[in-house]
Amino acid sequence: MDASRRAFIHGQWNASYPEAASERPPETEIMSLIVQARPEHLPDLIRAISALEGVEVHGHDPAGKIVVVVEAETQRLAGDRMIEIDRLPNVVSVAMVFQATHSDALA
Amino acid sequence: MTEATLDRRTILKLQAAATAAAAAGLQLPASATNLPTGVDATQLTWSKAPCRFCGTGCGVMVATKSGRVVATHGDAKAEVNRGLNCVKGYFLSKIMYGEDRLTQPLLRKKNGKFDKNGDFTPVSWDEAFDIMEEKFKAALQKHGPSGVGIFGSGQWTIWEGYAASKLFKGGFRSNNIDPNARHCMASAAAGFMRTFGIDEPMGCYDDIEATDAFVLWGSNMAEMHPILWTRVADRRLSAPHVKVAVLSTFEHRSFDLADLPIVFKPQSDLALLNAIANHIIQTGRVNKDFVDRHTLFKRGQADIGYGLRPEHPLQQRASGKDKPNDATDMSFDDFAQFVSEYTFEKAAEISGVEARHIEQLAELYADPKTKVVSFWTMGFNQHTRGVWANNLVYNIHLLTGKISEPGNSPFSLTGQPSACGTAREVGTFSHRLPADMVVTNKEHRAKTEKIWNLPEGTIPDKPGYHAVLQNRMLKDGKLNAYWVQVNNNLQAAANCNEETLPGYRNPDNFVVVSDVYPTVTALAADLILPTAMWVEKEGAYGNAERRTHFWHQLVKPPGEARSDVWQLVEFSKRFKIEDVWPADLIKKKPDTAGKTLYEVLFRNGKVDKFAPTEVEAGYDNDEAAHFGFYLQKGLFEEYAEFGRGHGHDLAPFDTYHQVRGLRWPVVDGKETRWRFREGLDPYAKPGTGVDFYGHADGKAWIYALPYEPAAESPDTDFPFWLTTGRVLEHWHSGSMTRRVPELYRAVPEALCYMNPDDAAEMNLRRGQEIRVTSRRGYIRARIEVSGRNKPPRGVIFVPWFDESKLINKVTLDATDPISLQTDYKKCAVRIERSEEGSI
Repeated sequence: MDASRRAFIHGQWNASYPEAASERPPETEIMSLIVQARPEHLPDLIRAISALEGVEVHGHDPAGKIVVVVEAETQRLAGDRMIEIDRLPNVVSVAMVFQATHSDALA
Repeated sequence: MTEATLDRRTILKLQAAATAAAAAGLQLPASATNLPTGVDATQLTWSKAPCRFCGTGCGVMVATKSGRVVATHGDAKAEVNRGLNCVKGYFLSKIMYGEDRLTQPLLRKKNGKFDKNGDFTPVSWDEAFDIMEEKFKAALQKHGPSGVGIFGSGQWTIWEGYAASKLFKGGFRSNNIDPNARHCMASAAAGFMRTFGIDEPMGCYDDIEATDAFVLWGSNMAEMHPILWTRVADRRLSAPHVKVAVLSTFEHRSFDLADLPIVFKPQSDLALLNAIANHIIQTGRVNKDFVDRHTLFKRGQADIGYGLRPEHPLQQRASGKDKPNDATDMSFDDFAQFVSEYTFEKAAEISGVEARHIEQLAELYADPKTKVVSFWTMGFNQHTRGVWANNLVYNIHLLTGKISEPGNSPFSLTGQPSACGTAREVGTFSHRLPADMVVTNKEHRAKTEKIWNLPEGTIPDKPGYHAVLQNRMLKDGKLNAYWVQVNNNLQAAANCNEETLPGYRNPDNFVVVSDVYPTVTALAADLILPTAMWVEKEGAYGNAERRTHFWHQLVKPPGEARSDVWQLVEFSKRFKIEDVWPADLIKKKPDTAGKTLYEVLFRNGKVDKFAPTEVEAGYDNDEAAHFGFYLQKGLFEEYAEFGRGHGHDLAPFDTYHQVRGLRWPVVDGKETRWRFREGLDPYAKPGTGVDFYGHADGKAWIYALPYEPAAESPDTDFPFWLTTGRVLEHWHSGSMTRRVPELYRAVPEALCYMNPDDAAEMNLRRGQEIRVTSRRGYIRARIEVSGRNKPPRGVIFVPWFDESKLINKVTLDATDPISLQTDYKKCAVRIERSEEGSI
């Protein structure tokens, strides 16, 4: 245990995680999402989602559901994409359906 | 990248799209849905498990390869989530692999031996249990059974909570066992017991697709129960007549879907609820037949205090503090008279909500043609009048008869994955026994002692120390040997600097924390035990809709980590019955003489009757291998005896490994979706139509309860309300989610959300660091004025997941006097610029 309670309580323990993650070997992260929005926001939202790097819209229905596939080099980037989508204006909810790590799942 | 990998990647993407489309009920082009076997063809082993996080209870499929969890996806066969998972669920495969995972017991030592001020040093399990045994025996010697205690969790699996309850109440004869669910669900449980005489919701999630209106009372489902919110949104967006009302003390993410958004002043929900009841009566929309046949009216005790220490002036002034749960009979006319003062105008004055908005809300309930689901979580439950708030929402469903049928449902949501299944159903509270029984009832104790095969008089007849009292008794040196499992109470307990930490560091006390990561609680302990989590052990949870669901052990825990149930049962070997029971009790069952607690409670011819070979082929079970019997099955089957035939029937153990959970009571192999309604619930007696059989009179009780103010309100010295809560990315204290880099990066620290006008008036900018100070302590945090949470003027919101900003140093440990649950939503604070260099 090399972290004192003081360091821990001041958040310095956790601060190392993002760096540690970036040292991991590259992998491909693939996941699919269902995004919900009010129907009147669908066209704008589909445009905004499609504009994100590594993100594809695979279909939608008129009630407001959009099927999205995210592909990213690292888990970290995939996570960022998902959270970016979650924070787009007029998104009511984001649900994950499928997730796999390419190097783990298919090596 | 080779051609072959590219192909596989494409397959994976198509599989991802097809799975999502299927879950959304969408048709994709044939090329996408016409899949090769995809991932399933790549040597992954897939098994089912419930999600590890919230009380929604989603099913996930978990893929393992080479002893590691490598992928998860929503389980399409799970009725709860139908293939979906939320942001946190997406990261499930990573929560076990944080870099600082605890893998061996750690004891504070100096010069080779235990020292309360020593450094954490790796020790063997033997050495860990040696010192625990010494300290537990010393505490029992000094104070008797009240000197030892355990603080558990709504994240305990069912058998872990059951084993802990049996060990403490039956073995050590101490009722000092309480779960962190006390902070979360106690008001809901007490509300059910008072109104219905039986715990847990009568309806289920199927109500979502059957209703015409949703009312959220103090629940930010969009962030806290995202999958249920997806179902709510789906219902709202696909059926245009459906309305969503969202009530809160500040605007949050769920307001995006609200047709009727209502921000009210803290504590004034009590006035709004009474105003709705009054409106229903005044406009002649009481369902008289239902009310006459199925309800009784009770005047509840008022002025019940705030659950503070007895010397606190607020306690001394409260006239009803010694009998908070009392009630007297009254008539419907008396009740109508009681609520008549809660006009829309009066409710508007107390709540700050416009009268016409209160009327629109009241109409959703009053209109007989509108089916209503009411959802609530911590806004109601973490409330010094939380039980009342629960009772009052039942009042309006009962007055209109909108209950116990598809779409009409007052529904208490839960925060933890097994707050219902373990904390409430097993009864791991200081006053409870399994199946809604209580330690203060002689018959209940006798029934428990019979099933446990213990002599009459084993279980103490007084409630033990509840969560908040445990901290006070640790501080006061009356509780000396203390075990914490599956929770982070130093971060979670209100007023933690004054009332929690002093007890952990009190030299009279020995504190053991079992956890998977070094939480602040673990680091404040004397001994840390490394724990196996989630699919590293066989488990069972019970979700918010009475669904019991199981999973198998899928991987090995790291290093020397062991499950909580292993720890509890193994530790019981350290005590001879003579160490813990008086001679006259042993004399009542002479065959217990000379035996260990392990032999009396677990290796007793009953819990050990299933052989390790009964574990389903292809799955590990480390506990069965270690103890030589199928521990989980033995514990579950014994536990199930309590409820079978008494309205809490559970299916046979093996069934749960085959199905995606079943909602109890499970009678003749069939689950029950709506309770109390004849034809839907086998326990509702023929001819009754509706049978509230929890009470002997078959009726639900409507309570007359007033609006009373909060324990602490803003004043000139402390002009802001502080309310605390969670954010989407982090679950509870963040001990798991903050170890997932993506979630950590998304929301690295807790922010102080405040109204832009308040900030402007104080000349504060977004991102600036400020101090949030109460009468008890302060923290420093950065200001957010344009984020997802938008408080009205005079209110700030600070989430509690961040251990570097322990907001519970600031909160007040006032509790609901009936449920003993803390109010984390209301205390008074001031905001100041943070001075550079101050600590």
